[in-house]
Amino acid sequence: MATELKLSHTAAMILKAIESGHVYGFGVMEVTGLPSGTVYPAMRRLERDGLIRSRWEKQSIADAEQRPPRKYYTLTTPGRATLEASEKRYPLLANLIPIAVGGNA
Amino acid sequence: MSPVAFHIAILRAAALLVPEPRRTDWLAEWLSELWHIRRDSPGINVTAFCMGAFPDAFWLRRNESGFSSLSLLQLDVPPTPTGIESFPDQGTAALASPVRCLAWLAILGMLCLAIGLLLPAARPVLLSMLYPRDLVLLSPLNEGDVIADANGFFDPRPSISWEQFQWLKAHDDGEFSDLRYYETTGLSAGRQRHGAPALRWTEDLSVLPASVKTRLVRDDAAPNALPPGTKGFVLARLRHGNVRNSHYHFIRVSDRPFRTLGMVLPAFLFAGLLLRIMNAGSPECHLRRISARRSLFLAAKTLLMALIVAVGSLDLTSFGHSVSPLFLHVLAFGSLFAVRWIVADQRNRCPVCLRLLAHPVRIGGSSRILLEWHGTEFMCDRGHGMLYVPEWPAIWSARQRWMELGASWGGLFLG
Repeated sequence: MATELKLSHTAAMILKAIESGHVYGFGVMEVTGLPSGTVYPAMRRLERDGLIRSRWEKQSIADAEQRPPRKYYTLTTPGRATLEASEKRYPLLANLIPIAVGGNA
Repeated sequence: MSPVAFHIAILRAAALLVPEPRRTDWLAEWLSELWHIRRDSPGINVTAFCMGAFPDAFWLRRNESGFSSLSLLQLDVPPTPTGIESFPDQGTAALASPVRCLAWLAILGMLCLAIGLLLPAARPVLLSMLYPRDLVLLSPLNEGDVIADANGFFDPRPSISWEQFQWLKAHDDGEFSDLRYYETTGLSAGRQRHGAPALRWTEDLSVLPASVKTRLVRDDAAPNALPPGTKGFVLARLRHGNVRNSHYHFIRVSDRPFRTLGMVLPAFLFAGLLLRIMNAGSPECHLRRISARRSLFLAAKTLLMALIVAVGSLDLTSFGHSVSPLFLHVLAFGSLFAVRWIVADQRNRCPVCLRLLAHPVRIGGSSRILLEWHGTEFMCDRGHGMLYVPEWPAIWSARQRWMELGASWGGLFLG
């Protein structure tokens, strides 16, 4: 069912950004150029629809770097399938989003 | 307040909108992001980033308050052959209970008041409501400079010299008491409306409109040092209801809020009349049943909405140090929307428990209106009854209809 979901260009950009290794909210904002008031609600919606999932970073890692832990987002399997469908619909998507350092794409 | 504290305050304010179960996690994520942004991206507009928390919080409130399991995929399901389709409530959970509804309105009213008290133009109007009715501003009748301007806003000007004040004082026939002279010490440039500066008392009263600085003259010898032509204001208390002495022109200080906030009552009456003429505010059958609880709820809701509209309009039209004449227009439109909302909200509440009706179900189809009823059914969560709202008026279902469910239905519902 999820593969049939048609994403808006904004949602597809966010999905692509996460897939490219920009795995937290502000990273997605920076790479897409979208404001926080757009990115975060869109990520809530993607998470609600099962296309991405979030997890908190381990406290020990954050403590070691003396900073608060961050919430990271990753694509789910339906999310990858939806992104593939979206990339066919928006062929320039891959060119818009650079791969993050250490990204998984 | 430091920038960090300000940004954290924005996020905490937005967090109040997030449903309780997710609030802690939501706030932790935003605070963490804020911390990282401040460390890693010094050039970014952090305030704009924090303001984005409000749409996020609104989204969560709208979508995760009782219908979180519904996704877009489910909404794509075509209507069933019976023509019955259910759809989610949109952000009404916060206002479902009558107590919560009044609490939210009270919070909104307090917020409007707090904002008004921070605005230089709105603050004097709000605070001057506290003045006693016998407090008046005087001017010589022949000059008549203490006037209300063409828009009804109280807008006095410094008009009395010290010599005139002494003369007025000597000729007072006991109409006034506690006569005080306020000497004008300065005018703030660029803060005048219609060429008439407003007042700010520096002693005793500190809440009248700003842009003219004044000083209370206590010592009779002090004015001798003033340059010739200096003018000021005379404040006094009225001994009697009417003034017989023709030497004075006076205006009650408390008239100022009356001329602005006092307009909300006629605005509401006008809006109610207009909606009644348009038939949008006509009472439905279940609204005609009078009960003390419903009447009290309606009265409280109307009062709070009147406060929100009046003070909100004042806040929106306070530019710099003056209230724009647009105030009246905003007040009129605000009243129209407020009365419309009050009627619609009352109509969508169970007449027994006053909770918002829920579980809307659309029945029938517009193409089959001749064959069957077409509209939406709402149900009371507590099982008190159902409300039928026709989508298109027909001969047999032109208006909303309330059907009470008997006690035998009680086992199917909560509470």
